[in-house]
Amino acid sequence: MASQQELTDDRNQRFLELLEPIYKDCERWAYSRTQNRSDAEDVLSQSILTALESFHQLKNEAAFKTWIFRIISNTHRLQIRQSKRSPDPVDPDILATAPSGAEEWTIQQERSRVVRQVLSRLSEEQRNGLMLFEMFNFSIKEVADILGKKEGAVRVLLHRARERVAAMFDELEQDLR
Amino acid sequence: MNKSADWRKLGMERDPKIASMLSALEPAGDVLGWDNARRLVLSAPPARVPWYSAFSYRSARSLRLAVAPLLVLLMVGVLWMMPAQSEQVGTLVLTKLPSAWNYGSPEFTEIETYARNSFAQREVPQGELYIKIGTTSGRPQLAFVLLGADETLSREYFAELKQKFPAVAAFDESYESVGTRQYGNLLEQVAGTLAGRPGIHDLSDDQLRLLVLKSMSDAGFDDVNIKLTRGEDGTIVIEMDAVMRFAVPGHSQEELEAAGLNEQLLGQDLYQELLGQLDSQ
Repeated sequence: MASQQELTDDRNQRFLELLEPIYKDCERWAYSRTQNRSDAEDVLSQSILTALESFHQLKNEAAFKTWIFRIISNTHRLQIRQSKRSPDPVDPDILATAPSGAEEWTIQQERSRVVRQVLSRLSEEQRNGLMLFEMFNFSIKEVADILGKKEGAVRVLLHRARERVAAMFDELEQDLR
Repeated sequence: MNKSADWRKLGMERDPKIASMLSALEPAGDVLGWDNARRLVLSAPPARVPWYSAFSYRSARSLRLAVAPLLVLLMVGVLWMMPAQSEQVGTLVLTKLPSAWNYGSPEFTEIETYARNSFAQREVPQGELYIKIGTTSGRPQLAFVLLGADETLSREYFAELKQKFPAVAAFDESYESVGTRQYGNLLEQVAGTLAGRPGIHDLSDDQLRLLVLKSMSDAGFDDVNIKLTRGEDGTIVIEMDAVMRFAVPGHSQEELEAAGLNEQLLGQDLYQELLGQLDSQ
């Protein structure tokens, strides 16, 4: 029968085969949760190790992406709890003006600032649901699995998030006039 | 963005404007980087072998190993291998052990008797049932290994057990396929042994059969039956039936007895085979 080394090699190989095609999305998800690179790296590293350790429990490899996204979410939540910090939203007032002495802001940076400002006014669940559905193209069912909610609740959550985003953009447009 | 859309329909169609907006949150460059992620995985602690995994390796499989045409062998000297069709050979049902149940206790004996009778009545082709007790992280568990049964049948079977034994119904069980990926590694070992042998295409049927037998035995198989077919294009197809040797490395006999692996549970032949494995460690 297979030795522990063979089992380990087999596990690692299969895990990497499943991870590689979706790895970029995992990075984006970790970054979108933490909103800074250093924390995202910590969350992602820990999530990979957690997922690897419990890989044998994954019954359906087709659900690998949903499964690891859920692990990343839970890892981030746990790290916040352990550091006794409350989750972001990023303070929109802090982001409203460019830092003094900063170099010229690029269009991308400005766009990012506006988006963060808008998203910061959503609840954490609305923000995560919106990103999972619109940005990562998960189905309603998959979003529900990742967030630990029922599908009906996810639909309502997405509807409200979209309404708020639309309202906030209208507001921003009016401010600019 | 359409704010007035029926909320029931929303969530079915994505809004490209939102996706475009969210793309502004993309990190510039890598967060951890694929190379680092890969290094992390390869340097991670080894896989934990569940206590019941050795038990579930006992099965008979049909393996098919196809050898490349002789012309390719001469030029490249490499065997082309087609792994066996990985079909499920059984199902492992794992649940918590009800408190105060131990191997030999009246409660366990009752469910064991019922479980064996119930399984026998289903007349599963090449079916075998193993019932084991073990622990994971200090938590006692009860495992049913149903060889010859797929998950659907196993679920029906276990639902009946839960109906009969409320103590078991109190816990959620899990289902795991038996006999899938492990054989890929073993076939690679066998193929590797064959590929390392120069002049394999010059061997007679008997010589090739002996070589395959030795390779399979070294890889952990017994009772190997081989059928060789040589195609006109030089292809050699080796079809095999084999039984994997029951091996539990790293355990003492006392530990195995404590886990419920005794003669009464396994039957005399399998138990003696197991003792032979222990003696040879």
